[in-house]
Amino acid sequence: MLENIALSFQGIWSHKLRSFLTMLGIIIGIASIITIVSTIKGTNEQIKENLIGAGSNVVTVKLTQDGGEVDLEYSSLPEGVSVIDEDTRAALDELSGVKETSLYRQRQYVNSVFYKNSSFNGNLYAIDSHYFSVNGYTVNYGRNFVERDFTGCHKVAIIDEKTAGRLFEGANPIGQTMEINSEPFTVVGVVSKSNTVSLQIDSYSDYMMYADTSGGSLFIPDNCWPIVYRYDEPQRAAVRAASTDDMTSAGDAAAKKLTETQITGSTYAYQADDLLKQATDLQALASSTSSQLIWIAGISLLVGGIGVMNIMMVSVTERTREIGLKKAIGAKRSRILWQFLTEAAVLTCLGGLIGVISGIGLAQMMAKIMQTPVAISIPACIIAVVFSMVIGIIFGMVPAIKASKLNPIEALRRE
Amino acid sequence: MILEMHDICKEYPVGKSTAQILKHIDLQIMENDYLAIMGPSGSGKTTLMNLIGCLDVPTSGSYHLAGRDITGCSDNQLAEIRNRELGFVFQSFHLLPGMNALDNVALPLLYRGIKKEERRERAREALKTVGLEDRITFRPDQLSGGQCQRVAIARAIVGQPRLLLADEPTGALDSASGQQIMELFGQLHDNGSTIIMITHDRSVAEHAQTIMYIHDGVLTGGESDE
Repeated sequence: MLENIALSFQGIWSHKLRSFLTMLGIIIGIASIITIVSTIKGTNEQIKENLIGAGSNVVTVKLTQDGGEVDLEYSSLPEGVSVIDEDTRAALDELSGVKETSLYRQRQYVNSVFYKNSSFNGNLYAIDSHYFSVNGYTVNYGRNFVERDFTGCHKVAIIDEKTAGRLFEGANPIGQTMEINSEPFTVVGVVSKSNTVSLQIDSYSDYMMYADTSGGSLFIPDNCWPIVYRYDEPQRAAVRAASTDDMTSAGDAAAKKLTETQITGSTYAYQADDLLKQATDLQALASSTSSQLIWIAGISLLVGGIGVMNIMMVSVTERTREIGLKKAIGAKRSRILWQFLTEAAVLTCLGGLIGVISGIGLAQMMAKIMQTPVAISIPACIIAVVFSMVIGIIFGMVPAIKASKLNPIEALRRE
Repeated sequence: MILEMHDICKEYPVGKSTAQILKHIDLQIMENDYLAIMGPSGSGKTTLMNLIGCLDVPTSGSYHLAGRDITGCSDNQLAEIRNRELGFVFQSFHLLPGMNALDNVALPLLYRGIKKEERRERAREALKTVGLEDRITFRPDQLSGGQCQRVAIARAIVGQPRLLLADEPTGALDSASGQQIMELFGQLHDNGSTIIMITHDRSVAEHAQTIMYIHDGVLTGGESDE
């Protein structure tokens, strides 16, 4: 077998140009498939990253009623739902796939925050001490909340860079006092997300997903919530999963636990925002459009295979004397058959290999020129090479059988 | 007795009728015989050669080669007999152009399933016998016609066959090279080889011990030269 392969290489090498032309169809087919697959994979990974937020792996668990989100800004306080205490939060951390959880309350588009003549139109969060680490914030300057801020209900606030720019217009915000719902709060720190992802907004739902961070954020200790809003309310939970793949299960487990412990005798339920599922849906959409492209590239592979068959036919005719001689000195049918099959398989396998390499090159080039994301899939490359080998064996079959059936007398007489 | 043909006939269909190419051939070859078969073109000598060489099967009659009945053999069995019992030398050499002399000579041993090292060793021996031990890495296009034919003879003898079959072995050579080839056959015969040679050239045929004539499918003669 090894000897056969070595002999095939010898044959291919001695007809360099013809071998290359034979392989061309396979090369083009495989190269285009690899390019398409790489682009799909790149796009999918980008979708995942954009939607989920590069490695932050955070799932939001919200209160829902009959499947719809309960927005406490507009609806009355839910009956039968209790405020989550620290022990319950700590229990969530123990769930499998959960790294850390944080409890917080949130208002969107608040319009009652002022500093001098500037107003703020972003989101207000009342957070616990875990929030920044769960959501990947780091303190840029000033300080983080400390234990006494929470226990003593200190009226202190932390803002993000955007809010700092809007509200304080370049002035140092640390130590300044602003007004939240007519209550004075002192700014003690400025934070930003440590892993910022460039936003890619392709649709209205994408916009909504990012909208909550677009107006800037303002954080106060969770114990101060009643000071601002005059009443307490059930929190949401931000669950940081151990890995992206754990997001769905971790979110669901946390939601289940919260529903069990916090809700008694009502139709409310905690539910996880499944970003991973949304990402998967989007990916499926992107893949289904591209899989049609793969079919078209597949046709070029078929054409390539027919090209291989054609050239092998010519090669059998050309090498009639060689086949006749080999048979005369004792080569059996099966040996001739295998010789030609091996040659076809080696040829297309080589073509597939060249195709994979040029496909990877092409994909990288496209990534540079068209700014599309690209990710090389190793399994796809292996499948491509094996598949081209199979094409060689299938399309080499007819010429190989023809060669093996040659009559040695006729074959030797041919000049 | 190496070869025994009895009442061999060979017919080919020509249109609706059949043409009888060989008519009731009887032939016996003993160990270390050196036979030349002469005949003009169209006399059936190539067909006879193909039958002797187990490349074709007769329409009727019996053929035993090395004690084995050939007439009932399958394609694969015939291939094995050709490989083990016969050595072919053709007019146009039929060397594989991509291989060097050594690999060309070793080819029949490959089909016998012999390991590479031994194949090379035996091929080297055979090339030495034909006097080409200094040309083993040359490809056919780097060799002269006479040298090519000697490589072909080395390929024919490498498997130590019972019978050497030569079909116009000097037909493509100039007379000097042809003379050398005939001397080589003479040496092989002296060393115990059994040879059947087909030719239309009397000066070539005269190197053999025995000459037979084929004419219109009938084999005659068999008188000894010596």
